[in-house]
Amino acid sequence: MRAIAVAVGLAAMLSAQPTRAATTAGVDWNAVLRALGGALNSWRQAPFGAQTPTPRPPTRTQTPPRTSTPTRIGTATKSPTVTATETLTRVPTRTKTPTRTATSTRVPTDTRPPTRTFTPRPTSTPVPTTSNDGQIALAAAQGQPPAQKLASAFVIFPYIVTSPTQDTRVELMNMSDQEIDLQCFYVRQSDCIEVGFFVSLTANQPLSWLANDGANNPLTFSAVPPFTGVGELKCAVASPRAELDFHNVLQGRVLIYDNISGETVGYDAIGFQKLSPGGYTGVINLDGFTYESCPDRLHFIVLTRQGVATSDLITVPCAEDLLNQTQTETVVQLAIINEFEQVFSSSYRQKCLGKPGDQTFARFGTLSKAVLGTDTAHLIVRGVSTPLVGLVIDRFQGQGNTLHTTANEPFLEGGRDSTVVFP
Amino acid sequence: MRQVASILRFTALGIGIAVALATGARGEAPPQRLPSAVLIYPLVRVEGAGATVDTRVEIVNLTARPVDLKCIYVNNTTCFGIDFHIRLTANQPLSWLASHGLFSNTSSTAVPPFSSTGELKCIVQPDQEGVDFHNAVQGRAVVFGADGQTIGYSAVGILRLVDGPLEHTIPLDGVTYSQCPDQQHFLFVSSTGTPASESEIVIAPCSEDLENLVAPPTTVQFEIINEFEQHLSASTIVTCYARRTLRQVSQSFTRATLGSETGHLIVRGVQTPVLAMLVDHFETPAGAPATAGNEPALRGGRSAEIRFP
Repeated sequence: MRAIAVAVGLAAMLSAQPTRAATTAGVDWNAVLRALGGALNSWRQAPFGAQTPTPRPPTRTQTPPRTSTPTRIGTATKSPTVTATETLTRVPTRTKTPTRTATSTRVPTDTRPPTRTFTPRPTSTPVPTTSNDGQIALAAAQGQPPAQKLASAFVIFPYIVTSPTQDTRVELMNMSDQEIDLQCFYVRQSDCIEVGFFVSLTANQPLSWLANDGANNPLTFSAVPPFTGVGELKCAVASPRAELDFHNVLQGRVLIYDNISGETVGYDAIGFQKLSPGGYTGVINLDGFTYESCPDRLHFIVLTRQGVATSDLITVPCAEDLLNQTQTETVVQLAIINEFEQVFSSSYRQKCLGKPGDQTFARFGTLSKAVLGTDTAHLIVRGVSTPLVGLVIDRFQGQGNTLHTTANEPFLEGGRDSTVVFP
Repeated sequence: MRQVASILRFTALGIGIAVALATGARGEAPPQRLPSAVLIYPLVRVEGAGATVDTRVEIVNLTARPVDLKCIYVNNTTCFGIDFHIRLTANQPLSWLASHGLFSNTSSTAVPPFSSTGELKCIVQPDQEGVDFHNAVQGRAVVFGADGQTIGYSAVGILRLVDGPLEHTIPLDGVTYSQCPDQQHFLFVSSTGTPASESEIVIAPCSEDLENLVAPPTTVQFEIINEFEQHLSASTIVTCYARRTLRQVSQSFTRATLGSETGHLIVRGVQTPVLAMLVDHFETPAGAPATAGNEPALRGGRSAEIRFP
């Protein structure tokens, strides 16, 4: 009650002030003030401080900055997929008997439709089946994965290594009889900083360079800077022509070697074909319509960790906004199935390309023979908020405990949207 | 003038080969790294009963159903096949050493040991006729030697395209199954002339009559393009299987002839399409020998047929 009384008194004092002004000056100040207030109100300005709270909602002035944000940021809205991982109904799958003969009873639980009804623009939401919630191994993935080993418009090399003792030979190949231009970006793992460059390839031309050295060819206007550290490389065919034949022309390969030991890893770049005609814009929509989708799941057959040999899992987010240097962050879910059909899982959080040492199998206790009980495991990898590409570096001991190393490229299942934005 | 004449000769040769190769590059190449109905492992190698060189064959069921596979291993010297069956439970991975084989008394899986170099083909035997019941598996192999050299590669996958039962004849015609690749494009590192830098090529024909053991020879054409867009060519004849060094095929794969560190190789079977893979051998700057499997990019498709016993 006391507050109301004070407010009424203040209102009475304020209402009395214009009257005094009008009488002291001998002018019709009320009319003058009304006119001034009307004019300033039309400019969305109040004549006096006492009137300022009423006229304009402050949100109106905040609208202009919205126009400066690129619409591509919308790709980050895939985060609802996280909800699929929160379910804990994976437990029932563990209740299966460990013997292989019991697998026939699993057939009825497969809720997939008998035929695949892929849509040209697959949604990124996971299949909301009740029997497989949260189990990335057994729920069906939607969408179409990118077909590999074909002439592509966009390629990703998920693993490039340079050091005083290690080097990477990057190989690119024009599979067409036309000259092509490529826009490439190398992204360093340590700080997620990118280095961009252009490469021109004449008809059918192969080109390779050592990442430690770079390349320079004034005849073709190609110049590649030396790379440093560990990172990934993305290259897109930058053709202004609309026809698909001018885009789907590229393939690539990498050889990583240790200068002293000769340990070598060779793998093919992951390729994405362009599906819709149109010139290159620097925005690569991996949506199953403009370009092929990013794979939803990566399936690996891996050798379990035994002795001193430890394999590595390399994962790289498909979505990347190099224009705004927005680092992609996602949880990576792993499902691990041994030869007895027993299912294990693990997960980790990855920002950009992750940190050095993140990839080793030693991090995941389950990926060892001591835990799994078998030499081989089926590893399924899925990025939650953004799809991933990647590879495994297999390390194992052979005859006489000789250490062996080789690349292990994934099989792909399903497809999800993602966007790569080049500056 | 001699250089100009040489360039003109290379250019004319290149145009001729390009036209010859381009005429066959029609059809659809089989997309890879997808759940497949037929798997082809072009290189399975055992030497010294596995003590010198051995191969770990890996196969995975990518479905939530059990899958039966019929496999046949074709020896490179006799071209005879060895059959066996594999049963994979849902999502099951399976691997075995080729020198040891595999025996499981809990599933109907028994793989005999292999004792030489050859190729392995596996075909899904589905319970039902739907395409999803055919396209279920993927495979991989790792060839490794006592010298530390390692070759890892993925099996070539062929997709089933229509519903239907499995028959003895597998038509890779682009209608029932995806076609065989017409052209195979490789990036290769040219040989420096030392034995440690001699890369190898493995070739197996797509068409195979394993019921009647008929293996007609096919000519395999090679087009080699260096970094200066100069074209060279070579050819060889393959009966049922070939594993040769690139130098045995042609001197054009050497750095002295090619003039560049990297080359673009296009492989094409004439009478029947072929499947090929390279084994890269090179030396690091410090002189250490290095080895890696080299799988091709595929272009175009041609029909072929595999006949199982």
